[in-house]
Amino acid sequence: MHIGIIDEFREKQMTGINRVVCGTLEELIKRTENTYSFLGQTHYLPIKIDEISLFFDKGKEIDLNFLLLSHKIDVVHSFYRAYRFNEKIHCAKVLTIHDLIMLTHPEVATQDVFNYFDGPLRRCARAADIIFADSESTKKDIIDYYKISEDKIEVVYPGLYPRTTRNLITVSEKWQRLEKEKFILSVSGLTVYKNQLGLIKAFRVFMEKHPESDLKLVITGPPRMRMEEIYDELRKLKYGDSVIFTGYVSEKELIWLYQNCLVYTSVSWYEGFGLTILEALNQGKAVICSNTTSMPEVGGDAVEYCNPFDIESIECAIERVVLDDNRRRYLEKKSIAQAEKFSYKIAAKKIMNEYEKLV
Amino acid sequence: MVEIEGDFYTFLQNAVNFNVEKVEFNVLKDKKIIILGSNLLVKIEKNLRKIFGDQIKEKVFFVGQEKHLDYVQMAFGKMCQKLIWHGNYSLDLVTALDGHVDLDKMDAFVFVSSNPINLRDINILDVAIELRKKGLDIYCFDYGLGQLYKYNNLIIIKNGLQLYSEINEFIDMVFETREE
Repeated sequence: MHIGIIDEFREKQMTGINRVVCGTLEELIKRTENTYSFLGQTHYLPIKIDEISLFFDKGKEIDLNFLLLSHKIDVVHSFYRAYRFNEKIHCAKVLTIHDLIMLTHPEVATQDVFNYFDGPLRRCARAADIIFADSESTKKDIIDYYKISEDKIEVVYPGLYPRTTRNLITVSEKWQRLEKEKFILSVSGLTVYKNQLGLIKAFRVFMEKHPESDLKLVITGPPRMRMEEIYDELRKLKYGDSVIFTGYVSEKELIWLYQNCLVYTSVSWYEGFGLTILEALNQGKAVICSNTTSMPEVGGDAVEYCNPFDIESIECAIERVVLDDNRRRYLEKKSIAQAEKFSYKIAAKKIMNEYEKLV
Repeated sequence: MVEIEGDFYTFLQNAVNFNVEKVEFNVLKDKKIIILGSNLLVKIEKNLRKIFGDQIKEKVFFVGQEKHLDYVQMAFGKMCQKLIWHGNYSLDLVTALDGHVDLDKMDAFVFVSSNPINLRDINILDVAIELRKKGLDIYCFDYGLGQLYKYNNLIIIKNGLQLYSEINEFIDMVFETREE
């Protein structure tokens, strides 16, 4: 089988979607019975396979008619980009959908992005022979928002890419100050639905209830939006310097932060999968996360849950895990076993089985 | 060197790609440039500051919708040279630009896009072809990777993209005709 992979999510620092593509492909190409080509220019990705150039049309489906009549491809598998080709062309259509937050929470989307999810991606999903969803939660959203039969949707959980070390690592002097601190960690760009604002509010309540605490809150990721509200909230904190924004951190620094935090938190409203929860569990950490969308699938019974829309619920979860050493150790013990339920080896096996059914 | 062997699809891709050349952002350093703005202007801000420093007001002329130019004003100050444009970009833009800036004194035209080559930018290429006639070099800033590309033979690029789209549509038509 010749499988054409569409990724083309151009970025300097590899984030979510490109990690899923590379993690999956790294396993798929180990099986030599199939050949794989990227459709598009993907020189920035660390996976090196053949490349068939194509021209994109931002905001619309990528038209593959000409390409597929010129190259023999049995399966086209896109990791999010919408595409189309004439139904008379013999080639199977596969689409991976990571999340539909732009439809479930349109208030976080620009009009162009909303239109893309509502138009081209919807059409592509309906025309697909099979859709891979990152979680049962995403599968449910696809059924609800795209009105697609559940028989056509398979859940394929992502794993970790690159596989991160659990060996303790050292980082530059810049981080030495933090080494001596007890801190809660939150990892992701600052956006409305990631709910860093809710986390800061809950942290403020915690600090007001426990003024003796020397706990810190470390938030990584580039500031993108809602900074004014966040600064307003910080001004209300008696000890403003107890919240630390690191900005973008390198892969190595990120692992160090996971390894050195007391507790990891993800109180996002919505996650298609919740990759950072998996990363923290993989480092043996106690995790607090939302009880919404896909997060219970990732956390299982190895995390402390909270309602991300309720500040009191977040604050109570912080209290339970930070102040109760037994509870925290119990979660830490369960974390690695939970993380090991997810891997790209498992994901690739499932994808390969589905490819075989299609041709 | 461009590969001229192989099937027509590959040849067409190669011909267009060959004319879109990756260059260092520094090539803009001593140039006076026109930048076509969009909500993506934010992605090029750092590069502009690095290259032009305090000279942005003298070296850069911004074109875009009002809301995008509000951003320019916020980022670079009120004195920025700019032209507010409503609706799609068309050849009328060149006439409007001519009334606002001495095109003979400008060196380059830069637009920001999600890909170094994007079918969506065909209308911008019409503008680019006219500006090339007036001696401006044409560049595309790929905001995802933060790279700058120089467009060489604009006629091949534009007609290549047009032909690519037409063939895709033509294939649908052929299949429909066969059905009848």
